Amino acid sequence: MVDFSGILDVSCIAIDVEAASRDDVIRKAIELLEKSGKISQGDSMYHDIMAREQLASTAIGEGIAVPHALSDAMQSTVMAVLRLKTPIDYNAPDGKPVDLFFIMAGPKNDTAYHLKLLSRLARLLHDSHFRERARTASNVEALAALLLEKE
Amino acid sequence: MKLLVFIVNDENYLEEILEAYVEAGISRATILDSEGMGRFLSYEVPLFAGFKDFMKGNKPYNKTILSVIEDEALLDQLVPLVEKTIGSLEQPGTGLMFTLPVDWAYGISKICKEE
Repeated sequence: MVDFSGILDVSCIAIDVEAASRDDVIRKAIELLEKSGKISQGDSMYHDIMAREQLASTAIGEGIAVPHALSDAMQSTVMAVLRLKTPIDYNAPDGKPVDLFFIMAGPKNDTAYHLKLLSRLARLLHDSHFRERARTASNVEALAALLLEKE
Repeated sequence: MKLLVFIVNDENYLEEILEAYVEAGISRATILDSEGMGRFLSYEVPLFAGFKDFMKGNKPYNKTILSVIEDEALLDQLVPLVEKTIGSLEQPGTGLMFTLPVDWAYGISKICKEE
């Protein structure tokens, strides 16, 4: 079964991030991915993620959003996780502000893998216990370990 | 005794397909409105909205025909008739047909059998 071990790196996780808007969150996630050497074409990834957001908000409720895109700029699938200090409005279906962001991007020819990762993430995030642990994880290592836990 | 399931991707062909059923000797069936998983996910679950492009060419809704048949011999007649209408089922976007064994049935006045 698909898991996040191949795409998740502690250097791409940040907690207590200060961001004021959707744009701000996406840019900070891309900065993290660029700094850790995971991506080189941050601008393309940004535009593809924002284009995806125009279709429909990727907020799934309960303070969670999963901004993602399939992009020509990507050679492989990458993931960043941001936990905000203060939740922001993200046009969520339940109207709740969002503080947990799981940002993903992958190559356009890897649709099936991207779908599997999104589905796994969505399933984990529907679990209130998982969300609570993600919000209370004391550091990025603990947050990474939570995502990589075997079921 | 078998349950014959046929998921017809293009409901515009339903009438002709049912005519093929009757011609093949299957005169009793139940028709369900149905929807493909990909279509539902990409149009109804916002998280998957980005995958609408991959649904191009697919019909939004389809029909599922259920019928209980006495034996599989009817399929030898039905499949060619259906494929005359919608083309080979091996082509993407046409449909999916399969059978399942039925252990027991009650309340069926006449099971479709080869005549």
